Amino acid sequence: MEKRKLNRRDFLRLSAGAATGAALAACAPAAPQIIEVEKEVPVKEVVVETVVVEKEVAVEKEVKVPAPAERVKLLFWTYSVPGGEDLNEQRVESLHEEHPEIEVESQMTGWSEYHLKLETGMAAGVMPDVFKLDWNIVPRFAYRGIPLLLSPFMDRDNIDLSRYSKGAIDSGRWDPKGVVTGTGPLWGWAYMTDISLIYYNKDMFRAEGLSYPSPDWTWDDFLEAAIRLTKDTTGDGKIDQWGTWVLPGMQIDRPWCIWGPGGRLISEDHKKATFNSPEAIEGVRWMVEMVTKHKVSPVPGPTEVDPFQSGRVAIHPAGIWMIKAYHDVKEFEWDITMIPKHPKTGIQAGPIDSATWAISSVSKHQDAAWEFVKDLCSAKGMEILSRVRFKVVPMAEVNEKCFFTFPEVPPGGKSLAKALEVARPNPCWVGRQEVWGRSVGPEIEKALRGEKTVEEACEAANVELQKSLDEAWKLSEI
Amino acid sequence: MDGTKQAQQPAPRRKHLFKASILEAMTAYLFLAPVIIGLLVWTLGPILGSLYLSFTEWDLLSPPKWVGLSQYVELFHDSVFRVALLNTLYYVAGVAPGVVVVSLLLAVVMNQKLKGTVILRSIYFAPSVTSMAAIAMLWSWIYEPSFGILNFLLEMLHLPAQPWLVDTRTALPSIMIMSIWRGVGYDMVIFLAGLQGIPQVYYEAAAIDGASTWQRFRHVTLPLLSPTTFFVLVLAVIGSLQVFQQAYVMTRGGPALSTTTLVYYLYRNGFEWFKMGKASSIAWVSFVLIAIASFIQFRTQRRWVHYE
Repeated sequence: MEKRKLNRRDFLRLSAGAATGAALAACAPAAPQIIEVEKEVPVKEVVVETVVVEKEVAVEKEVKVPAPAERVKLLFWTYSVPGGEDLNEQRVESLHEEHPEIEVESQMTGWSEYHLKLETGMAAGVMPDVFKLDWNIVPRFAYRGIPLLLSPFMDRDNIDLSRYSKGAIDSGRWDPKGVVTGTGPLWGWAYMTDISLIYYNKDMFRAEGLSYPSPDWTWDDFLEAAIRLTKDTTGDGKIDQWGTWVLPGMQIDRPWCIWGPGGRLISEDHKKATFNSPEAIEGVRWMVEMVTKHKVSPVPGPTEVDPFQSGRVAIHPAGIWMIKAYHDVKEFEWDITMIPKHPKTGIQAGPIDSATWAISSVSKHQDAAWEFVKDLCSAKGMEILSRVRFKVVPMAEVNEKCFFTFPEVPPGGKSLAKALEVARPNPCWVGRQEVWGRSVGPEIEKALRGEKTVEEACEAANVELQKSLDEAWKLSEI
Repeated sequence: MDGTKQAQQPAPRRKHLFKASILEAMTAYLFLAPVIIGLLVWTLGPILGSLYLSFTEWDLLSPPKWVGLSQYVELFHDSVFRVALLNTLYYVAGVAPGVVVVSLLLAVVMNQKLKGTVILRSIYFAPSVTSMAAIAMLWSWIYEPSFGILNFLLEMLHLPAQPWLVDTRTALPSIMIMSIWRGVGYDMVIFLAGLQGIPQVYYEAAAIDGASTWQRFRHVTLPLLSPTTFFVLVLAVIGSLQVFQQAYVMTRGGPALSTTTLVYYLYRNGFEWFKMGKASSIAWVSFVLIAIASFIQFRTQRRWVHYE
């Protein structure tokens, strides 16, 4: 009998064929689905004819009658934060007051994985109905058609945006032809703003006999205080108390150091990068020299240790989200105030980076999602957020009622009302995050370590910023 | 099954498939099938997919756009890629020989019949089975310039404190030191096995001939250990070309890109900036580098590896 020597090859061929078949089957497009769309139908009914069957009935309606309230389930994605479950529960309860038929399933993801989850979700076709869209992601997502345009819904329901801080709302605006956020139709509705401010260690100021920072402080006052407060407290020849802690992410990426002297990241027509303008260089230099020349700040390192929280830094420029974290600090007294104003221009503007709520364009329940977003961004919804998470919201009236009255917010918090007024949107375009991570950030790090002069660093960063802008403009022409 | 019986009958009408040896073979392949199919679908398939993607621009959402070789050309013009490539080569040049030398020395010491070697072996081995993320976090604290234990010890010895991870010149060497520390235990165990495979007769003969300890090491141990050394070196080079976790956990590629490695740059392009095509091309460049390094090593082994 003949021996079948081709056994193995046949088998391998068979399994390769099976694998290819399985792969093809998996890649086959899904059968087209029939999507049911709920539509609101305004109904105006006046029955004039009396139909006599058993009773006389006269019905007159002149009200927009929604389609019969079918139970709808929305998928809601957001960051996982302390107190997040409680927060989302309260949000859903608030929604149920007017829309008990809308169920919400909320899923929270850690901050670092959130955007990856959104993008892979979109690629896989699993998108949440309502999700958190940060200011710096708006162009990238809007460009790819991920969020739904909110402007038509706003117009339809006559939403009055004047009650909201304009800068915050504009963070969610992006015009594909204008390339940069701040103008154009609305893709996300701002519900939470981050303001830049400075934290300061009151004990250190008192010990030195210095008056506390105030909203009238200038850049010169800041530097002077930082110099006075940098000292070697233990006498071992090493500085263990620093005047400040320089953070390029807080001072250049959130560009109040650029705006102060009158500089801009990009020109007004959004076509030219202006990171190498004399004003921008002045701002970067002020920050860099705190490390290189005045030595009032340690070189910012990669470790997670917060030297302000451990009582080693006197003045700490950061954002509003640290209030809750520092609330537990008992070792020293601290307070907050506005970022200092530039001594010559008087500019005290910080960025009003906002988080927004967006609806996904592939959501099957767009109207229900809109109702949820409306509720989340209403005064009621914002109050819930403010109370649970100590947040400043883009609605002055809610802040008056909530944030500025919380006992956990130190007395200096009152000054933030002015900070909100003068804050500007931080310009964002497709690719801004990347150019910051690849080029601008590393160039500033080199300047901070004295490896490059500030001019060289700003020039090199500007070249990359310009390239990034040009690419974004090229995309807009597609 | 009585296939055997039937095979002995004259003029068999049954098909060959029922022959016993073929049945056995079929059973074997059936058991292997899940792994092979898994390998084809989830490993080989994606590898080929990645090769295709490396010639495209793809952001996960829109369909991949073919750009061909220009992807690779642009990659080599990318200054950050060049920095990542140099950082990685520098890392390999330091870590691969470093691990081999240190683990060899450790193995020689641990091979002595001294008290406590068994416990010490376990202690040295422990880091290589500990999660790299945990180790990286720990060493971030050890390297902390202001109150990390390393600078504390240096100052106690009246030596200058180092900036470690904070300075662009010391950040990558700091990571390299940590990597060597971590990898040494595993390779030490491999070297120990190799050492114990050397027959004692050679040492006795050398001792009789009047060889010193060093001469015994140089002329008996090293040559007879060379197959093991080769194995460890090849693995060390391949492993260190793929360094990622240290850069990700400890320094995020900084400061000023000084610890950005090839795989870390791949990660940023793919998962932070959603440039999947570019990330794939970096992966394939990495693959080619590993292939070249391994090829060179295998070709040159004739000169210094002595198989018995």
